Amino acid sequence: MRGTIIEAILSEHLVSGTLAPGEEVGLRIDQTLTQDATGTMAYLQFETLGLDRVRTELSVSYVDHNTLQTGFENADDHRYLQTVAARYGIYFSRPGNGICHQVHLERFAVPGKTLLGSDSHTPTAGGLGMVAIGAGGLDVALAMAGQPFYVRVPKVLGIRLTGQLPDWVSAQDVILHLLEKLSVSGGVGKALEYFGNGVDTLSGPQRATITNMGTELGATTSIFPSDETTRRFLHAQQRQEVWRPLSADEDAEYAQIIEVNLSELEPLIAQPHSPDNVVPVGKIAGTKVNQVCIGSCTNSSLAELMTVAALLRGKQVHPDVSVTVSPGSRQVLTMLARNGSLADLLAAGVRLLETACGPCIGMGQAPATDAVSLRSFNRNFSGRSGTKSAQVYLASPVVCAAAALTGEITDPRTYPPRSRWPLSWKGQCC
Amino acid sequence: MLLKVGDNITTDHIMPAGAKLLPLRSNIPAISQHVFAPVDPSFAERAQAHDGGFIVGGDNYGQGSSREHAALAPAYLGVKAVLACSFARIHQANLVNFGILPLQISKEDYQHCQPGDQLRIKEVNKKMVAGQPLVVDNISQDYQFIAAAQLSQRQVEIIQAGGALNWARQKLAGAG
Ligand code: SF4
Repeated sequence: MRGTIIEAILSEHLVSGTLAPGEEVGLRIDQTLTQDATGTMAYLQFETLGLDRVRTELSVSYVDHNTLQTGFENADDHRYLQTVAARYGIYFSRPGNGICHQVHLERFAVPGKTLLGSDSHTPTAGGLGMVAIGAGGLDVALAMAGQPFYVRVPKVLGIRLTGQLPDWVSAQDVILHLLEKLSVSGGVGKALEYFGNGVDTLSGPQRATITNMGTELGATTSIFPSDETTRRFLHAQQRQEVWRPLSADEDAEYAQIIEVNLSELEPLIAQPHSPDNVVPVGKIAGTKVNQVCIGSCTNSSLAELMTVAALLRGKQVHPDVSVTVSPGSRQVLTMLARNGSLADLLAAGVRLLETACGPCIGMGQAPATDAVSLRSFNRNFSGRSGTKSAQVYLASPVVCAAAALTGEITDPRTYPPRSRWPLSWKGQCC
Repeated sequence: MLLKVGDNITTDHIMPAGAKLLPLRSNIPAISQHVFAPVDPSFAERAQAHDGGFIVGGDNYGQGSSREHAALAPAYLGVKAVLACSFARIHQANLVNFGILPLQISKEDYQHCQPGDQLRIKEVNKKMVAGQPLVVDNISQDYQFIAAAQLSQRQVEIIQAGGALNWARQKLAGAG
């Protein structure tokens, strides 16, 4: 792992142990995040430790998983989270602000720092060059108490990206490709570090889509370099002062190098009931679809949702398909509203959901019996949607949008190239 | 042995979420009744009737969501150890944090074990401290097999303290 970004950040945060793969080390944690479904327990645990304040640089409590207040339980939990945050110096992100990972990327992620989150998709922030790790609530409570986080040092896999994504091929296809190659256990005990000139062609949110779903490989974390794209993203978020450049040494040592030529990728789809059950979209084109859900922490950035809106503009979603869009954050929803994309989505017949996890965690939108549901999410485990007999597929937002219009799984490359579209996508969103 | 499951069991199998169950995340006795509901709805009842026991799983046990309720609720039901061919990282740590032993077993021994077998693990503390593999007696089938705890020194201390919360409290108190 010598010369990798992972090594650089871990050694800056090393409290105990030696940085050798497989060894348990203690790491200093700069930031923590929790979400409501794991957070209540984490804060109850933190409270038993008897401290006055959190001892991190920054701790945030998000409410995004269960925002359906079907009874007092949930509302009570939210009240507890808000008061405990005020008591111990924790930022409280109220329901409606958005999904923890998307909001954290926008507001708090800092290249070179460590983040521990009581949610397995915490590595999303790795898209901005952070070592971000998911853990149980108790480990996060201990990190809030200033205790080191103990983890076995992962082997660092180098993923060399070359080329550029072709039209209608998305960031999600990069990670689906890796899932097909490595399987849901292929990343256990490993960290994925991306490098190569293909990195320059991916935006901040695209990188975050890829690091987000590295979790499905079982990886400890995933990370991208922090470069000019990262700086631009942070500048757009009015926090470029936290930027610092990070890249691996020329001769960095990886446990293994995996080559991915972005130019050769095609639209992919994960079939039921595992994220690694991947085939090219074209192979199952024509499969009837009953539900399409676009959003989640994997794919609900402004650029992705604007692309969906542009595809649906002036058209109607297929009458047999229930189509939902849940923007990742209040910021994304606000910008969609300002630039008119939201009106395009609504006019096309989309059902707008709250900026929260929603269908991804089975909070509403359970599909009909035996229904086929296509989602731009990261997990399609049997039953997670709320319907045991449902067949859940995972694909990029553009594949979802195409199916929303045709009512069946459709290869989006049947559309004219993006370059001939009225909107210039390049440089539109950081 | 309360339950035998296959490969790639997710924390969604162990502790499902969704609109009916998420409101119960702060109510451990209530949510515990749904442990393994998608796999075997009678699990919770059986675990409580036997006053706890063991779970046997295949490869990559506990992948998916980080939810520690997938360790906390089985701990509440009295589960003492999970014997699996391999574990997902976060869940392995969560099991230790809630005082459940994650034990690695071979593929053959996994195949040998049958649901309902009576298993006994002796001298857990001694072997764990010495870093030696544990010996599991399969009383029903009358044979023994090896299970590796693969715990760090810190994790051994956590199991001895009955979980990470007790362990951390002792540590913080010690630090004044
Ligand atoms: S959107 Fe889905 S995967 Fe992401 S944090 Fe929410 S429940 Fe988890």
